[in-house]
Amino acid sequence: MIEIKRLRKCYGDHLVLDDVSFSVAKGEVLVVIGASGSGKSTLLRCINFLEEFEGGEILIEGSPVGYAPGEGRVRLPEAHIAELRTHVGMVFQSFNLFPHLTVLENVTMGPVHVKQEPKPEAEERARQLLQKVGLADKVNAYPARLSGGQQQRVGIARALAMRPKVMLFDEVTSALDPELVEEVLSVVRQLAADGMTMVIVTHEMAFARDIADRVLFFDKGRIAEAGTANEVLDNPKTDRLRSFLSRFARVTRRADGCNSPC
Amino acid sequence: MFDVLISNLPYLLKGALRTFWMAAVFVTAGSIVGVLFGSLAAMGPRWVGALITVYVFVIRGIPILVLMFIAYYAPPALGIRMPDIVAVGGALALYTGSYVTEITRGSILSVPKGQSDAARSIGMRGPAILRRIILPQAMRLSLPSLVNNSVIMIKATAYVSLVGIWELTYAAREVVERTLAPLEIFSGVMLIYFAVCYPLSLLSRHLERKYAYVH
Repeated sequence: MIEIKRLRKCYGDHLVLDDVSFSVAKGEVLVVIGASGSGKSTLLRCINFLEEFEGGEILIEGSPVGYAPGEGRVRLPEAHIAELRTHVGMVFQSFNLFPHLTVLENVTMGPVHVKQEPKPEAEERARQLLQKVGLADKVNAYPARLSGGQQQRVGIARALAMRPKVMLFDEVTSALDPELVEEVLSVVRQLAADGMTMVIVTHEMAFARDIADRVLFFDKGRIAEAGTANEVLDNPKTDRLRSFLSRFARVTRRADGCNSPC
Repeated sequence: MFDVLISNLPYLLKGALRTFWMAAVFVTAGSIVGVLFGSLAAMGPRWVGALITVYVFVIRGIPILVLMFIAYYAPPALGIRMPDIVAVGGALALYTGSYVTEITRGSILSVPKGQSDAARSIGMRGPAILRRIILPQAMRLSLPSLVNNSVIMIKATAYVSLVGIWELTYAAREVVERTLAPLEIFSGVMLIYFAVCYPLSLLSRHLERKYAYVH
């Protein structure tokens, strides 16, 4: 489904992603962990080309992301890039709902104005999706009236409304109060059960263990370890990962249930 | 004491009509130019932004009265024939435009970047993002300031009386010369300006509260 080959991305002199290669199979749930600044979020943003990259290539179902294949790194036309993004759903750490639109309008924006679906059908499906994420009673509310957990579930529904082939989750619970984290994670679990292909960047280790078919540990822009949840989270091979996980456990214990290590 | 004001009120109100008609035309025109320039400055090519910045800073560095004198004397000196009110009104619009440009630019840039990220992530493209996501939010952010700016510009129309254009303040000076009752007449003029500007200030305050949602 997703194939990434030798991906390289820098901000000025700073190499954020350094020769990153991996692939994600259809229906697979890939969890990416790592310290802040290790390149995880940048990786996700490269996959739907919200971020340009300097080297390597990304393929989604065989179609190249951002640049035409071959020499010269010719940028693909905007229309092509936008079309590709409709197949890749993204959920953001800070929700990024459109504050001037109702929940329903947030969810139908893509289907109606990008895919040109008739409004009644798009609204019908949006209602179904909102019901699925437990927000059937909030369709006409504005985002500012919702809790963080509710906003994030709208964010998920908005992405799903495009019927994406892949979903990208960028630390989607990091901005939430601890008691709101579970309502969002349970929606993501449901998606995994439905067989959605997903790449999830998270600091929720228990959740990662639960949901991941495979885990990547990022360190300084490189994949430092990769394997099943069991291999990576329970039997770390490198010192970096060991210290990352132990720092993690300590923070989680001290904060007594606080789910964010930052 | 205020009999003199009451007997001259119809004449003053005629001047007021002229004032607010002028303000409506030229301040609206200037605001439209400003919204356009502000959008271009925030989203357009860099060289366009640079030109607009020059315009904004040049106009802002000149007192509006000086700008009006220039607009009044320049066309005849250059051999261009145009009605005074167009030249001076143009100056008023240009002045309004420079402030509205900055208000618009600032409010577009203060829409968080996550908004266009989210729009792009569902496949939206530049013009649609601007029209459906960025501008509606920017307009809500800028509306109170735009109304406020209109209030300032309505009051600035009083300057045009100094280049001989007849409106409320000019009419007042005529009446004062005739009646020798400056305090009474200008008190009335003050109330007329206030009657229009105060509701607009309230509107601005109301809009500010209405759109004070958190991002």
